[in-house]
Amino acid sequence: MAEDNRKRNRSARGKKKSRKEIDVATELTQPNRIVKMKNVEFDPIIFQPMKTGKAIDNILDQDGGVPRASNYIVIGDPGIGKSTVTLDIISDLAETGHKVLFISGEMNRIDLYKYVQRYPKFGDIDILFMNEHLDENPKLVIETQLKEGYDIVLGDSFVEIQDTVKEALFMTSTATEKWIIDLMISNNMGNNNAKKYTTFLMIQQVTKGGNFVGSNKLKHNTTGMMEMRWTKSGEAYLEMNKNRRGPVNKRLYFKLDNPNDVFYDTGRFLMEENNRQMLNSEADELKAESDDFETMFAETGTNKFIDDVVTNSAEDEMEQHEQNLENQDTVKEPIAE
Amino acid sequence: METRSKKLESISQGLYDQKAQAALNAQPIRKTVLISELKIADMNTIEWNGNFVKMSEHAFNQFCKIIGVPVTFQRKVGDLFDQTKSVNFLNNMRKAVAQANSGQTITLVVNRAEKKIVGVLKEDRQLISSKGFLDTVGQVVDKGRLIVNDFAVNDKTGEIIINTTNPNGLFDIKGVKDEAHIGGVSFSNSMKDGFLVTPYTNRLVCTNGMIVKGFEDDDINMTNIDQDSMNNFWNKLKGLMKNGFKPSQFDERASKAIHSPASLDEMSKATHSIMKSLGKDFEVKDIQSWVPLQETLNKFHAAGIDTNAFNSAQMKNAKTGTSVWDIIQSVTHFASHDNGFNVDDYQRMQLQMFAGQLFAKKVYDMENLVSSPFNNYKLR
Repeated sequence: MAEDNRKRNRSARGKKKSRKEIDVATELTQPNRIVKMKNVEFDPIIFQPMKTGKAIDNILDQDGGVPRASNYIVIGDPGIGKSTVTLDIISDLAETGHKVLFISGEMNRIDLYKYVQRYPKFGDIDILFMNEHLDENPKLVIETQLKEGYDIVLGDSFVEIQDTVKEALFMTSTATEKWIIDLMISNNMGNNNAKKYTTFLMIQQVTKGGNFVGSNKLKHNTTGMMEMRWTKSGEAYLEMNKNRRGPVNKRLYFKLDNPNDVFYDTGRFLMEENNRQMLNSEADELKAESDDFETMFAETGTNKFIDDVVTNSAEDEMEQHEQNLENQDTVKEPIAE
Repeated sequence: METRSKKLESISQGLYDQKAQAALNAQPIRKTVLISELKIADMNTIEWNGNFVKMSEHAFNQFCKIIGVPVTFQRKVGDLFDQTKSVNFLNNMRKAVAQANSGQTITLVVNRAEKKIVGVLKEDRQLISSKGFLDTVGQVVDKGRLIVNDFAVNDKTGEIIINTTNPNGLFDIKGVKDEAHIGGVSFSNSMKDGFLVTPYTNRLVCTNGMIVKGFEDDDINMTNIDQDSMNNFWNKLKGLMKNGFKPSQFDERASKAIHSPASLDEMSKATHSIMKSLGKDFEVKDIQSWVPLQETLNKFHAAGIDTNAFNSAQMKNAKTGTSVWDIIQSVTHFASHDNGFNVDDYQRMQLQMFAGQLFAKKVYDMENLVSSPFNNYKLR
């Protein structure tokens, strides 16, 4: 019996090994592509950011606007307004003639209806409600929709879309994530009917501690990560903690009190920007002064005043005394037998 | 004495540039070091990195205070022990502080010309550079559409004072006729107060400038250079701009100052502040036409009252025939005009600051005097 079991195990191990060997290719199907960037050409429109006309433009791209052909992850504290701010961004872009899509993995029509009462401009956005296509292959639903070609697509949330596809098609999390990332990259490159270099804003859930829950692969394949947080005094701000196209760690405070529009505190942003420049300049000044100090006293210090200086023999004596006391403490007492 | 009225106008760009350059030249060196890196060599020298650096008495006292030895205690130690033991004691205190917080730093402020430490700042206090100060003042002047009326630099300490006014900031004093003032701000940068913004007023009738320092709600002080402190600074400044740069309690204090007789103490201090700016060649009688101290003392003496025997409390209770407002205007007039005494700009602005401090004093000495049927009643 035991011998049979051992045989079975050996056989199973052998099968696994042989399958692995079959799956891993041993030869390249095509030669590696080595690229010289000077020979690469892009449609110039890729490098023309899409302007919302609001202060958020200063946060995302150094040339101002939402960069094309890029992927952003948006994370933040619960209830801070991740959906509202991102919907506001794509609404503003829609108003300036950009083709936008909202893939809603979490909110349904009723939820969005309430939203639109407060922000009527959201009513003009094209929305794909994932929960209305539960009988379809969700992968196909999304691929077909993106094939139309959009300037910007908002996904809320990445995890929810990933789970919908994963559960419907019995895929692993890793495979689903890879599929979404590949789809995003493909659309970034304009592989759609309208040849749009699509930008994706993907809201991502966070842990209870407020940290990003996605994989490193997802993190590495994004252009930037936007964080929305509360200050201790209850003010909401957003900042980029990673950004390949623009600045990082610049806080833009915002409020959701106004109907139909996110209010960005542009004055404060510009003030902090101005302060930042001054702080940098001040740091340079301090560095130069520190160098001046070292030069000044390295040149003149040591010998110039040495004759004036009282030899601090009393302190040396005190140190010697302290040392003696320490030595006394460490003298080993005779061990009682 | 001939006085030439100094019109309320902007200083020329050439003079501004010249003063700005002087301010940059006088900018002290700031060096942040760990307390553990320093060693006291003697009562006016510290050792840093094997180099011996001289310190002013003021800087040495500041350093001692940081290591927990106040000046009075330090003096007692100096009286009780010889220098070697005093230095030894101070070094042990320094060591204790450095050990308790190994990362604790201080900033040494060094006068470039004298190659001497003239100030020591604690970790939580920073001195903004002259360049940073001038840049910021430039921005406020542009945003507030202010004009620069005065600019002074203390060559020894690097301290800068700039007075500005808002040409549209005209205001009067409620209930008082013929008192028109123009509001503005005075900017200063010093080791003592850091970057300080205080209201500045100019009395139009005789263009007397006054730096109103001391109203808690109006003084804007930046002693730390970080994003939060700077935000706070700008936000407070916006509030002041919104108010047309008029000091918040101006009407109330002006009315009190007009109706309060000055005490002999207030009059003496005003006189001495002017005398301090003049040097040794002048006497109190030379400034009689501004502050009538000599005349006042003569009247006391003529009435058989020996003012020399007054203690400080009695000085504060001795009523003069001049109002606090007149004293303030005398000082500001002296400070704002060329009176032939050749007072330098820095000293003039110190006088404007003195006047502002007197104006902002919480209670004038005679402010609460009341009429009484017993004024002439003689106690048994």
